[in-house]
Amino acid sequence: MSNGKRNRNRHKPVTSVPPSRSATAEPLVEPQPRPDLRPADDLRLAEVIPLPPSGDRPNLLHLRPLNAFLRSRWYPGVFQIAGVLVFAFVMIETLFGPSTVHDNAGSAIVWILWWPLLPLSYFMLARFWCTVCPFPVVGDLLQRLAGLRLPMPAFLKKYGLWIIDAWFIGITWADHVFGIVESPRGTGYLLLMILAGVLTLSLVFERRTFCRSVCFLGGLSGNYSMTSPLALRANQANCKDKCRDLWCAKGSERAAACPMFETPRTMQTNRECNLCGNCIKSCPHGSLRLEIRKPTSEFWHIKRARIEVAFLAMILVGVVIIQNLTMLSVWQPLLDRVAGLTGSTNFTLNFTIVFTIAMVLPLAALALASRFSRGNDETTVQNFARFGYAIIPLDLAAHMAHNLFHLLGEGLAVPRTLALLFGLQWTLVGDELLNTPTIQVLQYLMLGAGAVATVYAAYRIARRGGQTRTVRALVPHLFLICLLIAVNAYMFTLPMSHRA
Amino acid sequence: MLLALLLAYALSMSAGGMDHTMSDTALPHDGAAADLAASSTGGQMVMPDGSTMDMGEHQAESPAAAAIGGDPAASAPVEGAHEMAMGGAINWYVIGGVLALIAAGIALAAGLNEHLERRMAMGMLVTEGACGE
Repeated sequence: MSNGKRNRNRHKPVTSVPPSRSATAEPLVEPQPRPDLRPADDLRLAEVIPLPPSGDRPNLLHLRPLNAFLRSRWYPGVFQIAGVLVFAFVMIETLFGPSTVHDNAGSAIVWILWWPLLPLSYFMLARFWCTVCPFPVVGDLLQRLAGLRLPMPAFLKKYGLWIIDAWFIGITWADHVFGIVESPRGTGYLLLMILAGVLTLSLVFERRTFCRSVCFLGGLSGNYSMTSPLALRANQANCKDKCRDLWCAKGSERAAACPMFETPRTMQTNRECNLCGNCIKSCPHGSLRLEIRKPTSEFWHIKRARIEVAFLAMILVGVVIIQNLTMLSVWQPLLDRVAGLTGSTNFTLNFTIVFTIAMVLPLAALALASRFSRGNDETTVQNFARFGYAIIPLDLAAHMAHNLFHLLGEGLAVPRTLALLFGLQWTLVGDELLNTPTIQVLQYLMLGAGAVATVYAAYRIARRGGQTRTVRALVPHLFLICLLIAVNAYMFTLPMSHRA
Repeated sequence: MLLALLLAYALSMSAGGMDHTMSDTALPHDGAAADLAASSTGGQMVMPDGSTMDMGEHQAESPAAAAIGGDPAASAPVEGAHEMAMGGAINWYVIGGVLALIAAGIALAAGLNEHLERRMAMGMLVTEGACGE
């Protein structure tokens, strides 16, 4: 955290700087006199706004209270302290509290409140959660005290997202095989494992190496945050004109370097931005902008599509399907059928087969669609990477719709378990906030919104890439998208079991 | 916004909004058997029409299901209670409220952008130049 007072003193009001257009800046809207406002009012108001210049589009940092808060020493510290306290309680409760998931407040907070709200937070606030996340906060503290601060290894830089993808698949598999969600102790050990990983990497390597290249949630949060209407970017014209020192990436006496190894000056995506505010504090030119944009608009502005991102997008389709399947009444008959094929009643073996199929099928389907969609100017892999991004809104919607059932169907488990923990009376029967038919309508609305966003993103991607062959590029992917929507919609019609 | 909605709803229910569920069931809450039986919801399906069904053998192996000792009789009263709570018609007021919240969020975002654009057009916000070093 930086010193807010010193920071404010160092940033003089922008009105003291004579305006000078850079050659690369886009044309500005000329100030128009407003009939209901006297020139003196304009002048007086302009003089009292000590805000940074930041481009020709609206910038939320022009809202003075928000600007002051993001530059203050309280941001993001107040949220981080709250996060550490809550998760310290959660870890103690899951490790030492009641051993049944029904009675454990830690389990309820993690799996019925935090986990379902996480995708929603990625959509609304991009990766802000990653700044609040208590594990790297503890790691940051340890690093400050005793960290070796070695540079991030090259293989982590190169294969970080693949490692994250592999972790994510592994954890999802382990959850079902070892029953992590169903056991408070399992949840506690999982959290302990994450903490151990964060502390180890924080001790050895600089900044947040764990978050950038290892955290299994990193891929998920990166993908989902790209859909967010909130984005932090730099006013690049201003950067080119004024900046020689890259304060935003390297840090300054006002704030540390970017913990995610990003260079905000050239950042084009939300994927690795935690909205920690370090760059806002460090930049002496006030070039950072916080903007509200069209949700999902990032997908059709991607300059270099990454296969790892598309791969994870399709894996998430499989994960949501498997998460739904295991909570449906068709799950046991399905497992029985697989057992009949394998001739074994070993759950791990049979589950692994179903799990592998659920992961591979969406990937194969996208590969097939890409094979038909690609033109002569691109390979199947390139097409796969480009259109994989379009699936992310559907991923997010299906994930949130699935989690709505836990959040709204079991939401009262959180206050109930807390009441029991503190010896208070809890007289309500059942944990549901809403009845099942109401939740289902909300699930369909969410799925519908995701479907529309995915179809539109695919259309924009096709239009941008192929130019002359938009329809041919789009149709195979539209088939796939319709299939995925149908599968998800069907699963939400089936009865689902509760978590707690 | 959703969190606020949930919180408000939970508070309203704690204040007696779901009295029918409590009075219909009249379950004992001081006995261990009743508490354990309540965990049987972990092994039940909630049907779209609000009724419940058993998850079967696999779920019975889960820790939650194991806690009830696989005694169907122990969980029977709770199943009835659950059915009452989860059934019923679609609550269009809640859906309307959620949609209104979403619309309000979109309007707020659009309004903020509009407000800033207007101030920029009026020349009240500097759009380029250094902040001062």
